[in-house]
Amino acid sequence: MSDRRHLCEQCPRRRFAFFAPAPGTRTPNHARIARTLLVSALSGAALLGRAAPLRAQDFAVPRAAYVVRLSAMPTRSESAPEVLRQPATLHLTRVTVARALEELIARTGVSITYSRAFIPADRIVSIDLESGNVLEALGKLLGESDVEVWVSSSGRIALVPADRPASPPTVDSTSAEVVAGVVTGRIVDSATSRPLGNAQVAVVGTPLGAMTNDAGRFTIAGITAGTHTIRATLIGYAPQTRTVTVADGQVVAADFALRRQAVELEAVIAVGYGTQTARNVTGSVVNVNMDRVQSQAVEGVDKALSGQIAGVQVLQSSGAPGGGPTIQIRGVGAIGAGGQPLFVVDGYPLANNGGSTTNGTTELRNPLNEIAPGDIESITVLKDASSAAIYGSRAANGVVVITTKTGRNQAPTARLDYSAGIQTIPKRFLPDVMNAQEFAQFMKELNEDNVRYNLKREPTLADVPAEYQNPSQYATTGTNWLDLVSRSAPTHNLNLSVSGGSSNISGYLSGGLLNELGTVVGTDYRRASMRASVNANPTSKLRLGLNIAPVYEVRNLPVTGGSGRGENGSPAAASIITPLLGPFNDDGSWRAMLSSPGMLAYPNPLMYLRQYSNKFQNLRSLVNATAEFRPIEGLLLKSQANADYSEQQQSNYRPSTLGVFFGNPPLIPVSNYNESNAINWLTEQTVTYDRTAGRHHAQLLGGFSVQANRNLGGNFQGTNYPNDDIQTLNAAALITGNTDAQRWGLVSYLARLNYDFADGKYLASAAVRRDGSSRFSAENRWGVFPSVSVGWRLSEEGFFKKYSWLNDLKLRAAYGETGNNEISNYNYIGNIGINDYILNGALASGRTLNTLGNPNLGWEKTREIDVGLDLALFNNRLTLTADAYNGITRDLLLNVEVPNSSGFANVLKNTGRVRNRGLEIGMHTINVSRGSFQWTSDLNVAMNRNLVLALGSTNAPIRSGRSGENSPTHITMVGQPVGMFYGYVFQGLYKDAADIAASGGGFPGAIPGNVKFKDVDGNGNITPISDFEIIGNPYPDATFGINNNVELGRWALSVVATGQMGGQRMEGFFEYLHNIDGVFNVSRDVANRWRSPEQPGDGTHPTTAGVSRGRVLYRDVSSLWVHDASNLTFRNVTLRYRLPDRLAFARMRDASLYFGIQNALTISSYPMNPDATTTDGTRQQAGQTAALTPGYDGVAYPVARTFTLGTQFGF
Amino acid sequence: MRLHIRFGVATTVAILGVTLSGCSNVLDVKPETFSGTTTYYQTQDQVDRAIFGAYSYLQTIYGSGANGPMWLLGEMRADNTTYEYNGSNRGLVLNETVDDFVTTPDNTGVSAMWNPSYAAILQSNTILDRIEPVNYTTPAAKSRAVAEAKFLRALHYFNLVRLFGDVPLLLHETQSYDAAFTGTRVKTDSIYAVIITDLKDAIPALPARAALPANQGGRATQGAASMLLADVYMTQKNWAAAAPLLQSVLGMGYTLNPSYDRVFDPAFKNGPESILEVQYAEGVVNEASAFTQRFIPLTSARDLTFGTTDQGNAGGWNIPTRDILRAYEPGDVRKSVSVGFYVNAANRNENDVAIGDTIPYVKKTYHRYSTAGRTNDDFQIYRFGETLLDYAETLNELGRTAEAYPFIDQVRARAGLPALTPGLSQAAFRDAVFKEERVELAFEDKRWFQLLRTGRAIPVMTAHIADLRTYAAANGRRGSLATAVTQNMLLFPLPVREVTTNVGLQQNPGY
Repeated sequence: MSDRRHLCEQCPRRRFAFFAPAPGTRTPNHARIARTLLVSALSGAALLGRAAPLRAQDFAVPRAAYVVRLSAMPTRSESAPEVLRQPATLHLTRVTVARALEELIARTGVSITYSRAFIPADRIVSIDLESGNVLEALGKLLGESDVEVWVSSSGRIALVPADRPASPPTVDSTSAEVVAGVVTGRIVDSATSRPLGNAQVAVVGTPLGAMTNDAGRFTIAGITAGTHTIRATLIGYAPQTRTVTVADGQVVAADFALRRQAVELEAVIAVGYGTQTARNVTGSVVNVNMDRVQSQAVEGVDKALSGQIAGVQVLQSSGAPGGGPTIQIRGVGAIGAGGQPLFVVDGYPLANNGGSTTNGTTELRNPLNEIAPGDIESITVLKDASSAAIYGSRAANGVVVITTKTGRNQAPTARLDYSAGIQTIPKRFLPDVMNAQEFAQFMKELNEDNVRYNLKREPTLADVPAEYQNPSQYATTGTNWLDLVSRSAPTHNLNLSVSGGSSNISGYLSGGLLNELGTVVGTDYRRASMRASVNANPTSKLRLGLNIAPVYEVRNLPVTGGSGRGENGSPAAASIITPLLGPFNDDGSWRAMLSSPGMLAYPNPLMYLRQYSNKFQNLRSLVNATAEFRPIEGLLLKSQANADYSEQQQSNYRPSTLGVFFGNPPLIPVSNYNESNAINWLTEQTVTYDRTAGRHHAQLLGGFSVQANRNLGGNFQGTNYPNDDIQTLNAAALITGNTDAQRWGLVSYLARLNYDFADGKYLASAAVRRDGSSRFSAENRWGVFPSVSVGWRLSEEGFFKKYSWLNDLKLRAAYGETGNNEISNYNYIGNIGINDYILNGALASGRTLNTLGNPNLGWEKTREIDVGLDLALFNNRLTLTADAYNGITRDLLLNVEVPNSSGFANVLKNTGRVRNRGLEIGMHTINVSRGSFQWTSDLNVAMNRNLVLALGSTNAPIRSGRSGENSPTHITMVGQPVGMFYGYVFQGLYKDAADIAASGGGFPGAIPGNVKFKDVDGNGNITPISDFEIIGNPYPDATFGINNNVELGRWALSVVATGQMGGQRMEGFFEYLHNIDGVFNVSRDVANRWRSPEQPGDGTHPTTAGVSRGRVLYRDVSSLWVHDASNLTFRNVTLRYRLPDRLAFARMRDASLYFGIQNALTISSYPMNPDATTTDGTRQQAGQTAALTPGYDGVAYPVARTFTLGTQFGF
Repeated sequence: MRLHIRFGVATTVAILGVTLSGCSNVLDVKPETFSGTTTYYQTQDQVDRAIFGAYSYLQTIYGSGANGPMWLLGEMRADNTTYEYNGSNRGLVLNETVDDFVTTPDNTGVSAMWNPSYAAILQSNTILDRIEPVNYTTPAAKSRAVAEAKFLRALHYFNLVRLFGDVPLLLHETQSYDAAFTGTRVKTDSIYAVIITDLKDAIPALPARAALPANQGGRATQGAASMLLADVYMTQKNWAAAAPLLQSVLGMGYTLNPSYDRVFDPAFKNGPESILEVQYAEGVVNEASAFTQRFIPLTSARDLTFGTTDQGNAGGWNIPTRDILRAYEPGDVRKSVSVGFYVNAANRNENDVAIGDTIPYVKKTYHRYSTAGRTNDDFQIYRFGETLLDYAETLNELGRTAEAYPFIDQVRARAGLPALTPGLSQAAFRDAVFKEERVELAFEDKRWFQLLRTGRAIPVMTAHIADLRTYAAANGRRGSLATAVTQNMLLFPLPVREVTTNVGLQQNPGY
């Protein structure tokens, strides 16, 4: 009908003209108009009733899912929709038809829409129906009338004046014995023969149609005799048509085997403040294939996103239980403000409350971690600025739009997922350190070499501490600390969901339990989540929805941080502890401190993990309430209110029995108690108007939203506990602490126009958003974020139609501006804080000016141009999306260093520009589709080039990061990407005195065998910074994801691989693994070090003798820290077996078993996890963000390899 | 249907109205946990709190921080003290380089001095810029506030010029990013001129010692400002200007505490001898000192922490040298007050600082405390003992040697020592005062400045380095002692961050 929309001159009321048929079909009459209106309402209801991606046609072409003509009542009603089969008992004498319908509605709860004008509402009838159903009741009431019963896919019933097609007009429609045929059939997947439910079947050219049930069956009755085309469509499958010839009273079979199709042009995807058909999208918007994501055996969707989308990097940087990966879209733009994408859940842009900072460990927090994978209906990523601009001030890092499941109008269905897994740490993700014998040998040699150097004589055995004199005694003893503190950890994940509803109320309820032990002893994570969603349609024009999703998490994490030495029990710490000693004394008691002669005394990590308590709990509830009102066709008024409440507590306690670095037990117990709660609320009003006029179609959106946030927090330290009996704060004799209270607010106005012409051949979109943020002063508060985009579907042009192999070709171009305000609150105001003094023993409360306020602070803005191409070839067997973009982020919110002589260290300022340009290609192919064998592949590649164009007022470089020797590890400078690795350049070892002299002296006390670093400034003395250069690039040349899905009958195998080409990583733990002072255990390769000119080693490991400066230089940041991080990682392999139907019991359907491996294999020359990135701040300079220290691997909680066995049942 | 539309529109308008009206509240949020610059410095109470805030930097600079700064740059830099080598924790190696005379611009002690000094100057500048329109109860109260701000500013600049030479001179609140780039270094003379002006302004407006209520002990007085100004003049060798100032201090009612011990005893804070004393209180959160933990020998672990289970974070810093121990004359009561001796057989391994099994440690700031990690010791910036010696030194330099005896002899008498031999030459008297100042004010962060002022730094420190080399050779620990003490080393390097951020700022020569 969409192509037949013309203005109707004869129509008395023009606003109905819209729906009139094209000239030449039939003169419009009011019956037809009314019918169309009702149908429109129905389709609206259909849209409201289910949140599953609807096909565009559901909008444009009102069509009921099932139509039955009462005058041609099928003999059997089994095929009728459930709503019509609902039991009904009705005994009425001499009432009007209208009254009888009311009664029917009241008793059965069905929704029936009709107009008095077109049914004989006032006719007096009597009815006597015992144990019948709705259809029978309607038949009895209206059987003699010229009325059709239409049932929408959402189960709404409409009584519509029968509209017989013009051809063949031979049948006398008013006759009670109308002759018609029935088409019935079954639709299955061509590859797997699996029945396909929810497929649309339509009789082309008629309003008749039906939807398949779960068994894939459909029946369409009332088809006039003659030859008809039956068309079956289902999202994800190529449409198929069959020609059938129907004779009167005959039942004709029409079975379909639908072929899977790569493109989902008809899919409706969330684009922010609304939806759009995929084929009409003009920005760079990627709809994640949830089937593919959910078929992976993972506990969180975030992990499954890895490698799915070009340009979206999902880094599994830490394996801490309950921790999520970091997600980055299209490179680093922000380097001072936040760099996380904006997450929008069911229309609610979530506040970035910065995650929880617990004891120096900041868990990056993204909401995907808190939503059970099965509850997610769809995820859309808005990558480019034009599509993201509708989210304005917070969209500069991209937007992830998540839609959760809601109930459908259907009999309740339930789904049960259970999986159990075992996590282990892959050996390659852990440092490779010396065993006891190797270490004793190393220490023996170290002592000997020191004697030779310091005392200038040959050592005797007496110069070596007894423990090291005979290394071979440790051949079979010694402790592998990494083994001791790690374990194989089981996980359990249970998820149950129920969904269902009637035509006017539907619900979705799900509950999940996750229980995960960590691979490090003493760590675990438990999560209980619930999601309840109710939608009600009190009238056909109004829809109300309520969605509540509480999550409760508990975590035990007695490791603080993981970078640096991580002395408090982390796996990193364990690797450098003496391997000569075990965790227990001979009498079985704990050996609290561990050291062998000459070594630093370390607290026992195993004891620490067992006795240190660090508990975290979080309760977070998301509440969404929406009201949608459709007063007239095309107009939608939507009002939304959301709240996000989270309450976190974290407490830790260090008992007296534990030592600390440089402190032997017993120590005074200390504890911390942190509490924070945040309430965030949003109200939003939007108006959407959708109108088609001829070949023009436009959708206009206008809206207004207010979002505000309140954070309260408290942080208390307790100490001087008398003993360890009571560990809560109240037992502490001395309690100190502080509280925090903050607010922020955001007020926004937004508008968008989507326009398409000629059935989507020409597309255009423009949007603008104006945001006001409390984080800036009143003068700079408001920012305007416009965007425009255009698209041209070349494949719709006549000259392309002849190429049958070309299914779709669309060119896109877009420009947009987005912003970033992710800085802390109140930054524009100079901070006058508390800084007390004492006068004669008493407190003199003082105030000091601590920060330089910047009243000019404003938005950081990104302007981006994106051109793209969407292509589908060879019967859609190959689809390709390519995008090229060039984005410039300007007015960077940067914490700029100022000279300390000003009294300040840093000022937050809008300054600097960073460019990200890149190319992204996503490809989907159907490699084989033959019978029950199906093989599809996805390949995506992204190349991003980051460049700093300007920095601060003076373009002074920013040195960031902090090595153990207090040197910066990264530099950000104009003409280079953000955060390049920075340090000494390793040039080998000094061969002899001549070499030292030729190198300008190196450093005071340099001896042969010391490291030779490049004397960058040529002053003959190697010193930090002045002899530093860029030593590596953390950014890959390209990142890629490769997914393969193979289905063979009931078996399905999915393999997800991700990786990168080029790019380096900085092994931050080098400084401990290569600390050759003899105070730590060291990397195994240190055995190959220089010992004398005759024993020069492998040329990269220096002598342990000489002045300490030589050893300090060696372990300070240098090119030795930098390794190629190119890798190919088999992120997920899942094998799934669908149980045969005959095994199914009860009403079980769609049962399957699966086995999966996460992080199955990593191929890389990087010594540990090439994805590991430390963002916990322990190796950052104060006031700097993690964006300035990319690619720094400080040995975080190791990422696990997980073997999962799971089952899925549907009921 | 129309009704529906009307209803819908009305509802929408109503909702819009309600939410719109809430907008300005949503966006105009005020900080709750701190004050903003736009609303502060408006009442007398606010400005007075800012003054206390400015005082608090004295704790940072003269306190017990891990990187000094004053104990490190003013004392350990010189020949009175050294450090105990910490083989297991090399994290504070940069402190060692100060004593070893191989200090580099990345030295943490140097930035620990520079940064808070300028932050403190900013507090004074801000108060001075903003106090004008503020209503005070009395004009005197206001001029006292101005005087305190100027006094503190002068004190910090005096430290800066002595340690770094020419430095940036800031006299107003830094109000913008551009203004933060302070550019070039200003000549020492110009800075001294500002210091002198500030102090001259401050002296009459500050309360006399006698007029200072007991509960304000620790605040600046005429005595403190006069003493500081005299110190400035002496550093400039302007003896003629120093003499009357010191003489005025003599008449302000200060007396030597009869017991040298009590000068430093937390039980007798702000005593009769105290002119300017950095205040601490162990019972107030964040206001305790921790000199004990910094200065007791590493090997003492918990033997010296009064039974409190401090985390064994003994510092081993500021360990008295053999040289200072020898400087005490026999019978000098100050020795046992100033230096403690930790005896432990294990000390023999620390033979670069230990004398046999004994390691000396600074005892002036070592007193009993009850809560782990929190000591109650104040720190003396100026005290009457110094005034007497300074006056003696000044008179001698003015050629009035004979008049100088009573002042040095008072100090010696309290120390249990006989009066100085009468009839010394000016040069001999100079040596005697120099020795007396060393011993009397040992470990009070004066030594490096005494060496600079008297021009004796190079020979004294050359000898000190030679000593270190001798004692350290036994275990080969200190590999990187300076080869020679040069003129350049009399100034510290500017912090590396300062030179890299402040374009145009020249590093001191030799760094």
